[in-house]
Amino acid sequence: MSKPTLPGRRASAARYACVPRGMRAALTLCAGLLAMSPAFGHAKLLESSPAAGAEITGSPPALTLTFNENVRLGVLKLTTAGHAVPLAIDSNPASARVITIKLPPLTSGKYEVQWSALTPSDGHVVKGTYSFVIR
Amino acid sequence: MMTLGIWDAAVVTAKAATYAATLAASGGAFFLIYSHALLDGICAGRIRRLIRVLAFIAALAGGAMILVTGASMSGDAGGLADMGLARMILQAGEGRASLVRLIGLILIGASLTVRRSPAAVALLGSVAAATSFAWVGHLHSLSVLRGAWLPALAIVAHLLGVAFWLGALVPLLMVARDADMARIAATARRFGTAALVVVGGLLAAGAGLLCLLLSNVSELWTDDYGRLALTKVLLVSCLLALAALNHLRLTPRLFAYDTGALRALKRSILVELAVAGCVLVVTAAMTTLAGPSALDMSH
Repeated sequence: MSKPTLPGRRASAARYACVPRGMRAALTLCAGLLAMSPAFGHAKLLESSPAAGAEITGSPPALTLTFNENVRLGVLKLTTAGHAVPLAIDSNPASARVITIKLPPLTSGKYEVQWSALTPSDGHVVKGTYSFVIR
Repeated sequence: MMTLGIWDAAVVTAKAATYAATLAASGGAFFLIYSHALLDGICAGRIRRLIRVLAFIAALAGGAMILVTGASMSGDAGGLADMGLARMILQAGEGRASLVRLIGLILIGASLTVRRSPAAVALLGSVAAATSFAWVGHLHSLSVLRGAWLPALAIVAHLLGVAFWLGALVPLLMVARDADMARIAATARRFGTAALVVVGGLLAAGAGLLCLLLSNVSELWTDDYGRLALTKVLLVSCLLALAALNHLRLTPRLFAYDTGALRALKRSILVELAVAGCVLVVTAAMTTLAGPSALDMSH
């Protein structure tokens, strides 16, 4: 037996019938955005040293990131086997195209670099991750 | 290739909420100014309260946007409390834009609270708040890079047009629910007549901005920024179709006291609000997740 529907409730449901359709459209749109692989702003990392995916021998003295325009480095995290490597990062860095961070002596293993930066001209965030291996 | 994380989605959400609340507060104040004579005291009072709440939400959402941007940069919740990152974000243009927005929102709130406050104060606050987004972002960068005034002028015209259009939707819905048919018809006609001019300017400015930001038409389907722009264009086309339906078909029927037309108008405004929300989410994604080719300095 189906539940009786109150006339007032039916009228109310009809009045807002368009809202779920709109919300469905919004959810579809958000799903589309989540499926994107974003470039995050217009600044780009042109190259890094050690390079992404590189296998090197011996500990590199520094980590260098080269961008296509001036950026301010916000975050730089270096991890190996789930452990963070302590780095001396300037908390109020000047904007530059080439950013060099001195590294402590590193042992052999796989290292993951997570970085993020801001373009000072318009406040857009650029970020990325990559890894390299020390033999 | 990077995937979109939860904090990146949070930045887009907070930015879309800031756009929505700021533009709705500014546009609501515009609506009160040009249709005040047509509104009864109770309805005008409700719209004033709504605008004050929207101004408060806009200020909160703007603050939240800065904090979640820090978390997005850091990749974890620790970035929410990282004052070094927050300072860097504020120094990179967001501070300038937030200050102008906050001053505008305070002026709007004050003008609606103080009795017999001149409309010029509300107008000044609305213009400042709505155009605050021009102080940061791709077009600000483009204006600075090329030393050109045209992108700045176009984005200011575009933002004022958006505030006028989208900011009138909720007050119109309140009028359609509370007022008598004659007032509803007169208010809808006044908005529709002004919108013909304003929306024309808004679309012209939007098309001009797209030409400035894209290097090639094919980017509309080959590039992330272009695809988002195309999505926005399609959604705005839906909004235009609904606005045309309201102005050309429904408003004349309201003058004939057609209650069916009133129901259809309310439904149409609700759908417009849902589509407008999608437009703002896409715009937030365009200004956060992707970059236009005109600003690519690799070549």
